[in-house]
Amino acid sequence: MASETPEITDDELLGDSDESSFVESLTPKKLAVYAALTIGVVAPLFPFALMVSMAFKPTGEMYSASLLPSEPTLAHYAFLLENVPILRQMLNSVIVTVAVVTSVVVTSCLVAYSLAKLDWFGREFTYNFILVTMMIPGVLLLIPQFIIIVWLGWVNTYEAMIVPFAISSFGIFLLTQFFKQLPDSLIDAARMDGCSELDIVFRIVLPNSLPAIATVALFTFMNRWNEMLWDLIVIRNEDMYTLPVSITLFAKTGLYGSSTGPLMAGATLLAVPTILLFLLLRRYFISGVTMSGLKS
Amino acid sequence: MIDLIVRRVRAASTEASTDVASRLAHLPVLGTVVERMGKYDDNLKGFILIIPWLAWASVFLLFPFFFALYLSFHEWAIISPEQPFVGLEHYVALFTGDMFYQLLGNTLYFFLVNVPTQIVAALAVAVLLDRIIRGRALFMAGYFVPYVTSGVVVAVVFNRLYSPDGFLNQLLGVFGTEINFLGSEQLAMPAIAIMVSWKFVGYYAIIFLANLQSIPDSVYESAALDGANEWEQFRHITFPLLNPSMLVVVILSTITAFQIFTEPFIMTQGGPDGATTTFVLTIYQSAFSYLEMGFASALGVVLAAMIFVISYVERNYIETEVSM
Repeated sequence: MASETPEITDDELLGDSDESSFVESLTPKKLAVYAALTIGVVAPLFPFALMVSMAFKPTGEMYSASLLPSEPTLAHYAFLLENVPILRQMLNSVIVTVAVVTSVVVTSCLVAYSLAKLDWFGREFTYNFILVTMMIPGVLLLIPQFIIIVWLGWVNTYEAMIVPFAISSFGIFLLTQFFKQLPDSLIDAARMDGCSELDIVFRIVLPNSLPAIATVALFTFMNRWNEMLWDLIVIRNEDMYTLPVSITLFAKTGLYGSSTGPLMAGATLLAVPTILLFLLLRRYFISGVTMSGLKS
Repeated sequence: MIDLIVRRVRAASTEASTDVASRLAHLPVLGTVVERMGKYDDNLKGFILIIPWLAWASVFLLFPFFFALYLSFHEWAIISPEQPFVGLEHYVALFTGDMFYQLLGNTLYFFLVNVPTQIVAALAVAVLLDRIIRGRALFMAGYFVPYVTSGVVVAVVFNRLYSPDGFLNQLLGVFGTEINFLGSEQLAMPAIAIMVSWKFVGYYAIIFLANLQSIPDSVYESAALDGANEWEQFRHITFPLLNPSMLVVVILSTITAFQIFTEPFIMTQGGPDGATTTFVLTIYQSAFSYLEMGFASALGVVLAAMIFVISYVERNYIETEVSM
């Protein structure tokens, strides 16, 4: 159905075009639209303001109405550093996420190149099969995957948090769609010049597909950085927890008394990386949403 | 390196394959396969590049899929050496007990609050964004931020917002009332559902916006000539043409509703009195607190089947609506 509608570029969707007579064009109706959007945008942003505010408020005024702390304090972060191996847990999150993103990008490129540009027996079947596997709900695989991790002796290891996420059907799907649009002449020319297939993938196809690869990398980053349930199951040791597990258990057990300040401080550490990446590279997030929308 | 292997194997295989082809030619199926394979240029290269996926998918996708079915017919605790076959026992226990129907009710309650609120909010945001150009990217970013944020952060922050001494109750205090949102059997699930809607509004707004922009202006212009006012245009033109994105939103919401875990796990532990217990929360507790992995797998199989069937039905239903 979506294919019948005209293609929309991300530029149009984002509205990144210049309008010289902007102020003149402001009719009362348009002003009302801007006013409504401004009031509306408070709803998604206010809880973040509250979180940051509580992360820097002294414990004494935690529940005061004002968002601005009278004296901003780093005490809650200091508390985290003292009582939780929070730096180690951040490092765990970074190691696992970087490894998964790298692996997903490399493997998606290889598989997608094969599916989009090589001509082989069973290619269509394999592609359709990968699309079908995208429909298997993750929760069905949770227990059998955990048992496999136990069999492999990977409980409490980075492998357990990396390998099951190392390849992504979504990444393969998205890159295959993108690679199909690249002209065959580009690849044929490289082959004439004596490039090997790996050279073609990483020197020709990859540099020409950076927007799609950025989208895959960002969504993989977001999903892996935010993953909680799987790490909760396969990790049993505080030093191996990733941030989401650490914050979850901190919130649930109230192990350190009812400590709202440190909890909010921890939440900021977990929230900031994905938000920052999004603000820097939001174009690729937006195209990821429209792609996933078309997929279904 | 790979190329070298490819060349060597290919040199060997061209010799072998003519030989094999002539030998297999009299076998109807294999003969055709070998003959058809010969029509493709890159059989070996193509296949070698697929190997990483194939190896990974076999271990972490295909085997677990069938293993989940196997587990659901067995008694399985990771620590016990005995894993006896119990046939349909887990499924019978599931469908004859009360728990399954309570989970279904909770999920339905979640769905009925979650879907309308996020469709109305996302559609409103999309319609407004559709009317402006300058600043659209900035507003869009603002509405999208909750989506990229960890569900753990969202749950932790809303836990404070909803708590008896939290921000919402400070507001309500002005009117002299206090509501313990997460402590109430009736309100805990809607409170979680609205929080999840809040997280997804920006995401669905972008899907609606892409759909809105695909509707050509000429449609509105001719409707305006016929004297249709803005509301009539929205009701009779925009809304029916938004069916494709409605389909996406409803299907994705269904999948979300059936897989809610983090939020009740952090905020309510499934309480009060089971009011916010969800399928995945139950699967987690059965498998990892009570070590009943067979039973948990049976629940997982039923859940996966329900997700599949419901999204299939929704798809067909909404598609017939579109064609009318």
